[in-house]
Amino acid sequence: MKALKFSRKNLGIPYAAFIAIFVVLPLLLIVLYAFTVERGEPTTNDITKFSFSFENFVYFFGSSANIRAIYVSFGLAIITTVLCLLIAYPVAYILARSKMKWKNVVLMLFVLPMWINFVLRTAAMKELLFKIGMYKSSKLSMVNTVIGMVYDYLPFTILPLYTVLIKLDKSILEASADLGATSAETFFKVVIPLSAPGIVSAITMVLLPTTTSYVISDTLGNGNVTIIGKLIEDQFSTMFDWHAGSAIAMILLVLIFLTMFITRKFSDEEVNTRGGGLW
Amino acid sequence: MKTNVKRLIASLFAIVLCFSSLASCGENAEDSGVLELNVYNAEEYISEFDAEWETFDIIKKFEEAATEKFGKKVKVNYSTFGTIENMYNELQLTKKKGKNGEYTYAYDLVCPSDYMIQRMINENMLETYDVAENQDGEIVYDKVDNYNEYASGFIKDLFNSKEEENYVTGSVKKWAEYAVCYMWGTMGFIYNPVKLAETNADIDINGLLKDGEIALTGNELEEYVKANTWSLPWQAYYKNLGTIKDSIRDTYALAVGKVYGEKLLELRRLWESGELTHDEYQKIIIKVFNNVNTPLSEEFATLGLPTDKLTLLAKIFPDTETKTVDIVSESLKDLKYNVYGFEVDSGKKDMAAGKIAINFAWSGDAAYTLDTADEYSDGAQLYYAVPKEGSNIWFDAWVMPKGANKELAQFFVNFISDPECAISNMDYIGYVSPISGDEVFERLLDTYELTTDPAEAEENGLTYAIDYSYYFTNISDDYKTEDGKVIVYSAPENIGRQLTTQYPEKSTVDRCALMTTLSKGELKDLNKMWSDVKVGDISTAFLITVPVIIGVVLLFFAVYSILKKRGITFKRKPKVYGQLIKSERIR
Repeated sequence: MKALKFSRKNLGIPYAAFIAIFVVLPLLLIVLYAFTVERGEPTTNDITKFSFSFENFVYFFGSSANIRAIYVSFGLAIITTVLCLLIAYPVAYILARSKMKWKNVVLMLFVLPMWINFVLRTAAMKELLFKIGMYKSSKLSMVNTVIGMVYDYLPFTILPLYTVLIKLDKSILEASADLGATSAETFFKVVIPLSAPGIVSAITMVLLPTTTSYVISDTLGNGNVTIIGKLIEDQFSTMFDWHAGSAIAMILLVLIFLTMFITRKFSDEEVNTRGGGLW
Repeated sequence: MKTNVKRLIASLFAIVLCFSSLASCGENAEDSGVLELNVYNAEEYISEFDAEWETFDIIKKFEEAATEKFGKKVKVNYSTFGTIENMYNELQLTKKKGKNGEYTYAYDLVCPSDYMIQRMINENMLETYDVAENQDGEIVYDKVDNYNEYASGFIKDLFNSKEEENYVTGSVKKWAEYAVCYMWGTMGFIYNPVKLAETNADIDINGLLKDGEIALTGNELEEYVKANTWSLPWQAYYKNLGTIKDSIRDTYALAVGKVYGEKLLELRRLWESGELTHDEYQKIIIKVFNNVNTPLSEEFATLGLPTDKLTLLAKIFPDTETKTVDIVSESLKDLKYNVYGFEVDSGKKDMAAGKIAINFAWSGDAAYTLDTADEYSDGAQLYYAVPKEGSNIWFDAWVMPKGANKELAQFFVNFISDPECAISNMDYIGYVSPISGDEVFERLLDTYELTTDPAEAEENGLTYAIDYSYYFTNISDDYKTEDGKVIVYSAPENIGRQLTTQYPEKSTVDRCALMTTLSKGELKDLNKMWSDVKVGDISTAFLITVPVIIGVVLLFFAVYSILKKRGITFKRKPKVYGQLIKSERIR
């Protein structure tokens, strides 16, 4: 009789099972719901009564409100990401390069808000914005939402950038200077390309969640900013239409995959494997 | 490879087994001598122990009482939901198909609102209570004696007057057979009169205040600051002062009230002049408030009114091509730029803190908000008004989903309908229970320092008389006048505040209609309109330009990479970085 062998490969089985049950299966269910409809009332959500149809997608693209919601979501996400990068990069760079004794403490202070419940932070931010008069007009809703999102996602931008920048070999910068580049040239031609993995991680960490985190836009935008995540919620909760909701979720998924693909494509060309991606 | 697959399958099985054994744990409980009651209620919607408010823990008391009655340990599994829509989804998720093809649900007792109950009856989701009809054709519960005895006649009539069809079995039964009322109220505006008067240049604030105190009350006050109309949040002079609900059904009713304001007033005049009976008036406004995409004339035709009345209605609502939902859409788009925002729960806090001055609200929330504002040392004095054009009356009621433990569930409903429990509930939640016996009436007199004695009223300056005969139908004769009426004398300051918020006058409820459930098609139209309003406008030019630009850029990259693969490259001029000597180190 053969001894019971336990290869290291088998350690992966629980993870495979986990992925199958909690990732693949739900995704398949979303696809199933997205491509079917249930006719007739009352709604039973009984799988035997579903019929195949593209109706949900026709309905989605047939209404310009949904398209506008996609614009608002991605517009908001892109603005937030750009602002986050603009603010976080200098912070991460300065912290990574400084020889300050307290730099770990300073870094922790920047990351600290991450450990506080984000609903609480958002509510507090609303009070603050009200105090400085940002709610005098409903036209400022978008600005308030962006402020809130940047505030909430800044730690997620600083951390990956810092991790990459701290690993940056100083001798490379010295070499650049030796070869005659000014410090600005060194920054744009050496530091930024070398930190590209960090930038890509930061974008992934911010751009994708912001397209759907409607709690912030609801609270800070006073309900005047509606993003695609909210539409999905509406379909499920008020409409009881799981099919239409799943279809929107699928469309969003495709759009996110496209964005990821494009981001990777851009970074692939420039990324030096050194430093490595954090995520 | 093969063994790996086998192992994978085996471990998957193990996990599935684990889950299923976990799931079956709950079902075996009944055998072990414990009776379980699964109650599903809205958040913060039942009394808990609080020493300061003198309220008690109803669930705990019920468990004790039920254990004694059934001779077995009774345990309540109490869970809560945020919105009734979530509740409905949860029921759908946990349902099981029985042997006879009917679904059973995981809960024994649920507390949804009016239009949801209607939907659940339609969809054959509910059990009926054990009932009998008395000689007046009224429903009497076999096992909910407390409700039979103490519930207000007004609420009982309401539940007896509406019938609902079960679409699956085709049976038509009264609401009272399916549901026992738990809380009820109206829909209207909470407003801050001082702030409104300050903002509106047309209102003379001196007419409102006397020595810094609000001198007007009730209808006079509502009229003075023009708060008793649906168009309140639309007024340009109240820009940025109001909030509306971030929920389709509620805000739709608000907008219908606005766009049909004049017509609803005309209907009210017809009813008050006697040209329409109250019953007809009610039926008509229900149709108006719940109209989405069918022409109103078609809706009215289903009411079975005589022809002369139908022509009268046709005069008020002439047939037009535009659907109600489209008119509402336009008016909501205007509203969006005139209000402070959409809210779900933050309105209560913002209102009490004086951030906003108009809040569209349910009466239960309104009473709570008024109380909160009173507790703040610098809180505003707030009032509640039900629009004169007519409004909604709402209720939440206990229903038993199919497969419920009816015996235990009805015992729970009976227990919670006890006046003592009702009072504890009202004190704790701030909403109004339909239970209206002597104890509840005495509590009302105590809380608002009212009296039923005219002589005493005159002595204490309680000059405002309210006729509650319609509501307190089952109190003892000591409190009634000689001709059997219930007249209560109140200080004028109470009118328009907590007292009439909780217990509206007859004239107020008379112009309130129920919300009814909408069909799939209507919901779809409504949702489309709602997302259109919520998302807001973006110019078409912009909508088209962005994908075009992205497309061009992607195309450029694709072409570039294809060319690169084929070996065609565009040579760039080598950049001259200057001479090496420029470097500082070498220098």
